[in-house]
Amino acid sequence: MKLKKFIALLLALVLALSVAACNPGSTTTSNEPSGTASTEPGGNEERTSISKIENFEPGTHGLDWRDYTLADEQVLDILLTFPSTTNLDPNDSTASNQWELFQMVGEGLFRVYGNPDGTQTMEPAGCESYEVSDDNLTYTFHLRDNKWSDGKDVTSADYAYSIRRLLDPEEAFGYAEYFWVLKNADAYYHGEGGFTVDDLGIETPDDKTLVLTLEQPTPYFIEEMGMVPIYPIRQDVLEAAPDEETWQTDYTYHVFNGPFVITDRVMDNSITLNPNPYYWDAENVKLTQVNLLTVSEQATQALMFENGELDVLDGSAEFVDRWQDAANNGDFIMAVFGRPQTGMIYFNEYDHEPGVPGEENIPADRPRGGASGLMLSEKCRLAISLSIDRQAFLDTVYNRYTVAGGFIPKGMECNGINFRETYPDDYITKLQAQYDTPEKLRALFEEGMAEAGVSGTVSDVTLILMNTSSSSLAASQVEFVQQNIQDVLGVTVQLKNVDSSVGRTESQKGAWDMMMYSWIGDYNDPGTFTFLYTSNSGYYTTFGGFNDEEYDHWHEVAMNSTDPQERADAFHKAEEILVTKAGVAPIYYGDQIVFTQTNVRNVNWPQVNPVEISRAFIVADDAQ
Amino acid sequence: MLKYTIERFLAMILTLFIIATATFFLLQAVPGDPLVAKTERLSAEQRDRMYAKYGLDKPVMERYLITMKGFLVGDFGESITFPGQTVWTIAHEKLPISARLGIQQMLLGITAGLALGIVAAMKKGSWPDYLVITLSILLISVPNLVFGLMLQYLFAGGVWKIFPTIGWPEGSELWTGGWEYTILPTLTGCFGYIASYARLLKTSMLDVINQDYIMTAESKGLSQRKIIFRHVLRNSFIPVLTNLPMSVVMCVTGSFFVERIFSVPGIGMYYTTAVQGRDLAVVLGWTVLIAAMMIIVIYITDILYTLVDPRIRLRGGKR
Repeated sequence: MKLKKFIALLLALVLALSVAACNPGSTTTSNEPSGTASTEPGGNEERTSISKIENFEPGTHGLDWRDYTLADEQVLDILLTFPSTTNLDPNDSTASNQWELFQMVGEGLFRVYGNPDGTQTMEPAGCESYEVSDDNLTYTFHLRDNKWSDGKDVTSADYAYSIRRLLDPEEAFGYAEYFWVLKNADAYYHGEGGFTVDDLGIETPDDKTLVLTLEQPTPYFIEEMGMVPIYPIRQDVLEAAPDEETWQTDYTYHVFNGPFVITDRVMDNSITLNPNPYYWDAENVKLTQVNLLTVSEQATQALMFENGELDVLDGSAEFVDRWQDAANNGDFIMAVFGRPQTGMIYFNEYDHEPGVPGEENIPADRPRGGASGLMLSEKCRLAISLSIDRQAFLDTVYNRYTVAGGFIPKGMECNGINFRETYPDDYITKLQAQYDTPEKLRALFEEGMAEAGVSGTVSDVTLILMNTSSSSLAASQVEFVQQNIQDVLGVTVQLKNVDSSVGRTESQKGAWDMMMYSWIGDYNDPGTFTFLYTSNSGYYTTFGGFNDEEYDHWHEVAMNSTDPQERADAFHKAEEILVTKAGVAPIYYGDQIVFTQTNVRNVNWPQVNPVEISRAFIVADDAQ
Repeated sequence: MLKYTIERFLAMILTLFIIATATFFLLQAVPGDPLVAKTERLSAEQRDRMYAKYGLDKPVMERYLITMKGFLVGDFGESITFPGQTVWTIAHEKLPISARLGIQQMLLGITAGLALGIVAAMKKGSWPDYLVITLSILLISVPNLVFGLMLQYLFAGGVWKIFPTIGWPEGSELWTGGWEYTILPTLTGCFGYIASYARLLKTSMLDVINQDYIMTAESKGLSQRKIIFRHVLRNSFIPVLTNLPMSVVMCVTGSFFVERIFSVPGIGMYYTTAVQGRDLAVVLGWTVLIAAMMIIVIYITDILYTLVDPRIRLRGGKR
């Protein structure tokens, strides 16, 4: 009998353990918000309390280490996502872990710091100052005296070489298109007009001056100057390596011009950084060592953070519930930062318009207005958009993030104007007040049906919501939306799940009405969002396609004007058209939850760049 | 004998060819390609350029020929997900790490497993037997992931801080140093071996114990100890020896969960990531390499069998 009891006990243990094992860390791709659904009652109210970050010193930048008692050991342990960075080519940096590493070992014209309010600050770094010509076409950068880690000067030629290489069409670098705004670059890249690399608008009058000339005034151009893909590259070092590939992957063939240099790397395990003695601001680089650790298992990450083996942890909501109390007790610091991310539902509005980019990939028999034939109707789309209870969606699916009433997320700045603070995002709430009952929304939807020439009532309609992600998070998103639309509008919503690898093809075939996606901005300007829905955007066919001449017009105005106020107004008009005509249905703005140990200072999260730690330092325990 | 050896060798080459071809076309049939994730945020035009850069715009048959030609000279192509990495560089960097982990797990696991198997067989029907069998079921049903996290929590900080949380010896310590890093991962991975070898040996021993020659030995008045060690054990090892070569091959191929939990930079996690990312060159190359190792081990085992056990020879007549 005793033995049986023992076995029963063991089996129970096994079961319990297996259940625990069913919840391993969710793997997420760069474009998919990380996080998990939590249905814990009351969790949401508590969550709000941690988003107060007025006193979040470690999250700021520019604290002077001289004002603190420093700890004897200045070592920072921080994560680097798997797979660890094999590619050390700034031009070929497309993944966030590559950017994270290069911000530590490289220095571009500017360095980007994050502010606790979700905005970011770009400070001159590789350059000391710059001027813009009166016609807004010529940017002259005056370089700072800085040295590479082999003691040689950083010159304007290093910057020019890097930008020219980035624009080499043979290399097909992902970020090339951001710099087609340079004079002749677009034509050169596409092999038109017989331009050579020497015709590009890149000049180096002397070793300390870099002059970039644009094709036409580009107000957001300066925001791109902090991007990793144009960090300077030493041509002689690259050419001294046995071949380009070896240079790209082997750090020993590199010299660095940033605050740190790579001194050791164990592939997929760790990268060790030590200060670069030649760095221009070496006296303010206090860390003597940075350990970039690759830890994929989230439970292990959590254990290491609790042990103090990690100083900084960002990116996941998994730990929020677990560490709520510890954070409130001051054992460590947890904070929520803004993130330039908007989650949305987009509609199948593509209408075989000739000449739009990507048209050649669309089958000729793609249905107009989606599977239901209704998605070209503004009224039907608007009824769907207004039917979504966004707060309930967030409470059910994420238990974090904020409701999006507009398309452009918080923190985005238009040449210094904080867009969201200037223009409230009350489009949706205003319209929801107007259509405040399911009956009114159904009537609106049926009006749209009549206009589209579809007979019947809402109960005759089936809408297809396509989902191309296999994550449980995506599943709970689409299930919520399905239920929500069905309940309010009385239509049938069918889920269509396809594997992510065939998502693009299925999307092009067009047998769907709605899909969900979240977009993360690439640079600090509302244009990084509004351009998605212009009819000449490379994404036009990817995200449903919203064709509106007035929208295109206002986007054009914003992108060609150099007056910040005029630009912001134009972005606002474009956004208003997109949201009120339901070109998309914005649902939520993303955020970022970060954790640090209490003795860490000057670690901050810029809006579009990864974590910035170059001026971080550790304060002594008794001096906190 | 020579004819048999040559025939088996040719069959081995053919098998490898079939495996490579089948894997190639299976990978083609699976939807998606390695550039899906990489080009997600690029415009249609940039995307096409990327596909052309990696040769993925070529027809399937042309790519098959290129791949097969490469195999003949040992060129498995370059990873797309991990630029600059080839199957050989990955194997060179990561195989020793996974191999040390695997060998330690195997040595510890098999030794403990065999010892427990002997105990269970000798004490059949009593509590040590039940304990061993229950433990085997437990050890085999609980996933590695759970053991790993549990050991890590208990001994690497959560309760007691005895061992480092993550990491693996490198450089000069690659094979013989840094033991403190290897203990938890080794323990985590050895449970599977303990369970399977304990049960294997116990079953095999019970089978032998029922043979007539054991009864003869007993009736001759030999001591229990002598019977077990001289007659039973020796004859019970044949199934164990059959399993052993497979375990050796498998142990160098890495373990995804153990490597993930302890951040061991081995090959298991790399391969899994490659499969998820449809990194065709790496998946295909590594699959073929493992298949080759397996087939060679089986080949050697088969040849050795014919030497050891005449009953296994395929045809009659003198050789």
